[in-house]
Amino acid sequence: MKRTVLAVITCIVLLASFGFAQKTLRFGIPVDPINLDPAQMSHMVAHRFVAFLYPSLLKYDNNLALVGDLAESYNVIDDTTYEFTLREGVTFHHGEEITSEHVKFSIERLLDPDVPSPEAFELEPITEVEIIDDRTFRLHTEEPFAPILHGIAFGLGIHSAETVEEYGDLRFQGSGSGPFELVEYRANEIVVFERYEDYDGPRPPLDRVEFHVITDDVARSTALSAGDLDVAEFLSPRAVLPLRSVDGLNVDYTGQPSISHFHLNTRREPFDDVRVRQAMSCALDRQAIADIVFVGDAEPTGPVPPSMGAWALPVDEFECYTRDLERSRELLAEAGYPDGFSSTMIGRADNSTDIDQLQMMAEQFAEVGIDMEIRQLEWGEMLDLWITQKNFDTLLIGSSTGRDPDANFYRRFHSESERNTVGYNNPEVDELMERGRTTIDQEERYEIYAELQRIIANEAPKIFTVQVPLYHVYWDRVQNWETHPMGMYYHLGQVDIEE
Amino acid sequence: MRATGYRSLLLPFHRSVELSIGTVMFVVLMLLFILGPSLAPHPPSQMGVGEPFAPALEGNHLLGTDELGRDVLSRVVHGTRYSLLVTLASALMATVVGGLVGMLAGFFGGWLDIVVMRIADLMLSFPGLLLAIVIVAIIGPGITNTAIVISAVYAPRVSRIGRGAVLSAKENDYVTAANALGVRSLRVLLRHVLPNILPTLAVYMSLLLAYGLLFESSLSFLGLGVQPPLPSWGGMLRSARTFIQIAPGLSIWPGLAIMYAVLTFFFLAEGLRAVLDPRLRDR
Amino acid sequence: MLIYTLRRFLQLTPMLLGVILVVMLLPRLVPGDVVTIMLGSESVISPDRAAEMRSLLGLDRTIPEQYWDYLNALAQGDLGNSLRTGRSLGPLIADRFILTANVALLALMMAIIVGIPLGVIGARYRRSRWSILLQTFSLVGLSLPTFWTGTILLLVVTFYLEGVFPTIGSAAAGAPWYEHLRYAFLPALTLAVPVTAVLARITQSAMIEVLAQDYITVARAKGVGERVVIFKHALRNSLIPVVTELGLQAGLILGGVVTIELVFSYPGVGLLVLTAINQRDYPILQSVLLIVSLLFFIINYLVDLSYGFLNPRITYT
Repeated sequence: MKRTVLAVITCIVLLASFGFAQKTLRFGIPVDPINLDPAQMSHMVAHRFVAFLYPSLLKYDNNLALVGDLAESYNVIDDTTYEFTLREGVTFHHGEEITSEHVKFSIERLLDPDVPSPEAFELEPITEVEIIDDRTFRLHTEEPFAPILHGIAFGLGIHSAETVEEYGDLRFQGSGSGPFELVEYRANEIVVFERYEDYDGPRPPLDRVEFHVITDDVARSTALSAGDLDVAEFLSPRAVLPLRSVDGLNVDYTGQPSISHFHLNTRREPFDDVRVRQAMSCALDRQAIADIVFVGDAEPTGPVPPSMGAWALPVDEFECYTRDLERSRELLAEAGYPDGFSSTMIGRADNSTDIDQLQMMAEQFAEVGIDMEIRQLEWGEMLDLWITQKNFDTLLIGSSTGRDPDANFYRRFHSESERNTVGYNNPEVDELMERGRTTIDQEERYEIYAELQRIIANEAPKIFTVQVPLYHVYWDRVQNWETHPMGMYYHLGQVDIEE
Repeated sequence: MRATGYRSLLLPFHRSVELSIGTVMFVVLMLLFILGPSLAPHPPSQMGVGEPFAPALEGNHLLGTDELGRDVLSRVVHGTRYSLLVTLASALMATVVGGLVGMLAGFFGGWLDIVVMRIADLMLSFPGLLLAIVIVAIIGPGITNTAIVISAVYAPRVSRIGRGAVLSAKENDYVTAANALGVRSLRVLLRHVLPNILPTLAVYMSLLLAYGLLFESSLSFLGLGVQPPLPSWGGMLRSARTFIQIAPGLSIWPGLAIMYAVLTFFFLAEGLRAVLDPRLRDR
Repeated sequence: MLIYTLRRFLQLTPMLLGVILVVMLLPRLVPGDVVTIMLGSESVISPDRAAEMRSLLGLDRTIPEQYWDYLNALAQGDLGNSLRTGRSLGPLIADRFILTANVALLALMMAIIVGIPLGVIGARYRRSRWSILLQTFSLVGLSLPTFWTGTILLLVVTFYLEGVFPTIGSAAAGAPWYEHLRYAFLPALTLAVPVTAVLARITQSAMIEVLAQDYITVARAKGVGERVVIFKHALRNSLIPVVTELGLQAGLILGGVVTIELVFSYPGVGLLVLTAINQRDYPILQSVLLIVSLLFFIINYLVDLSYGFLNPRITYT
């Protein structure tokens, strides 16, 4: 009953508001966020939405440096204790003021074993949230854990017990504290936000932001050129090509911290032989992939993408990351495959860029006699073979990494990690990764991760090709647009649109 | 009398303009199908044989190049092979399996007839493409699977035709007569019924080729048919769609190829119907 | 008439049980499930936890159990809830069907307005140059893949008719009817191409057959005007095969809608099915398949009934 009344009121308000000139930003996105519960985010798109609706204590600025969001300041007391002070007078969309109690609730709900939180690993080491006063609290961990601040910026959304109680299910509704409040989320169709009038920051110029989920690249690009969208996000460089020549459209791109991983199943012949893996790495021409498939908007990358700045080693430091066909043939011969071999590569059918890249790689492998057949799989089937059954020869996928380099390595290469899908097992690497997590000293960490990059690039359980760009294409009428390096929506509060 | 031997062979073509057009178009298509790979100037999936997006009719790429610098002409010509292969295989399978099953059901009747026809009805109660999408999701895409899926969608239709033809043939005097003379039933089927429904099946099979090709290109367009780098017309249209604003040619040629091939089979079907269908012949 | 209707429905029962079994079984044979997809590729979650999520959604129940549950729910008029969103499917599916119906009916109208007159002309002037031209046109219309014509229409509209027709989505709920029409126009036009071709062809051949009948010759001999002969006597009797064929073509229409909706991002049933498969949302998939097959049955039933209307000589016994 209450809901019906609420819905009716919303409708009336909506209808009434159409009477006034409304500033609406129509934003076309390729992927549905799936789940807006701040404790259940499972992929990058959901993170963007949650960070927009439920700001965390910290966020990333345009250089990927950590800055305060809800937190006014923070101090590292010692290796296992962090103290935060909240900004004053910030309220949730339902009116409640945000206090330390809410932070404690949000972290505890995230870590509650009864709430499935697929990406909480960076916050799991938190053992206690100690409340000092309404605006001050401390986070304690058992052991030193270096990536924790990134976990806070990326994996946490501050919400209140009241919201959880009122809505029960936060996947499609909820009340956060960002500049816009959630009005409607129709799965696979649209997510609608409207300005939160009591926002404590500068008043957002936009009245309404509509995220239209349009999975098909061509449909999204057509809608944008026809003016049915104001801005659109693209992952495919080729889909953006035609838009570059349209008058009045601006193309922004960012080398987001996401890279193409070519997985080699090391449990299987011939990929259990490190020489075969190296030979494949040597056979690839990464620059050609970047130039042709990514029309020059991508950069060759090793295990850590160049966008992560000081963490990343230059690609020419890695063995076999510059094309060397002779070396490749030698390695193959040593491994007992002088004439090459045949195998299969799996790619995501709805990602034309990945399929193009696989076609190019197949051509390059063929030059050393490796005959790779491409299998385009629908996403669900691919996940099933790759993640659940770990039943594949090789597989290409773009994955966001970013933040702290721990996220690039630990989950993916630790011998005991569930997500070590390539079956890589190297005690030395395990040990380095453990140390990387628990070391707080920055210089020492740089060294550890440099070493890890060299080993992984050289042993090639995965072959990294290029850093995948993310595009925002928008009309001139959209003012103050910024493309965040992680594609976050932090800046939507400042965006305006000309009538 | 001797001279008419030749002329009677040509007679069907006088009877039907469509058959003549269809045959000529079909011969061209078959030439491309057989000789295509040796005629094509480049290997179809070799990248960088030219700059990406080279325009048509300029330089040494007659139809230009695609987004990966592959020769479009070579891809369209090679595409004939894959698109037709799938279509021919599926039409043959559907006709043979569907036709046989339908004829057997019609001939023997009883529970076999009931079971077979219920299954056919069940399969026909879903739109073909929806059914195909679900089946491909189960067994996976690829040349062989695409052919299987298409034939599975059309076989029930053929089986109905086969059954209907047998049922009406059974009423005919010659079958009754053959039965009365004690000719074994399967032989009656082969000797007397089969030749009588062959014309109908031939017409239907050429229709199947047309619809099958459209079906195959729809599936490939959805990414569920023939897989890249193998060139299929539907698959080429799928990737060309992205560039329709800057390189419309990429979308034109495979589309025209599909249209040409489908048109060929429609003309053949029309022509065959005009020549073989006695009702039409009388007029 | 009543007995005929009842008999058709009785015949339907075992068929319906079979259809329900097929529609619930097929989606479950697709590898992977909704939990795999929801967790995606980045999550770090234990297999135990994933198993728990599956059992919460009832995915660990055996197929016979799920079949029984589904039958029970259907008997109470409940289509179930989406696995992805947990929401009731009734309103969602109804909305999508209305959107697709808009396109299908609009396309049908276009096809009738253009196709039937073309067929009549083709029959009236058969063996003339016009008829051959018409024949070729209709064959070409049939040979064009809908996703191709759709894409080209889309291109034309973005370049030359900017802002006249929307290029994505559907009208907002509660928008006036002409808005819905505007959104449905391009997909309908695309769909209308092959349907018009089919209609023109059947009308033509049916007319030719009817025009050769004795009573037409008699009518002509009696001096009845050509227009009256064509429209009053011939056309009405030609409509039977036309209507039958249209019923059979319902599949073509519904199938064509899938690719067309993808091209125009038009959120109808076709797009719903594609996303439901991608996300392994079994309840959506099975309900849509079930409804579509029922729709098929009803359409063909109506076709049977319309024989009586178009030709009173046919009785139902």
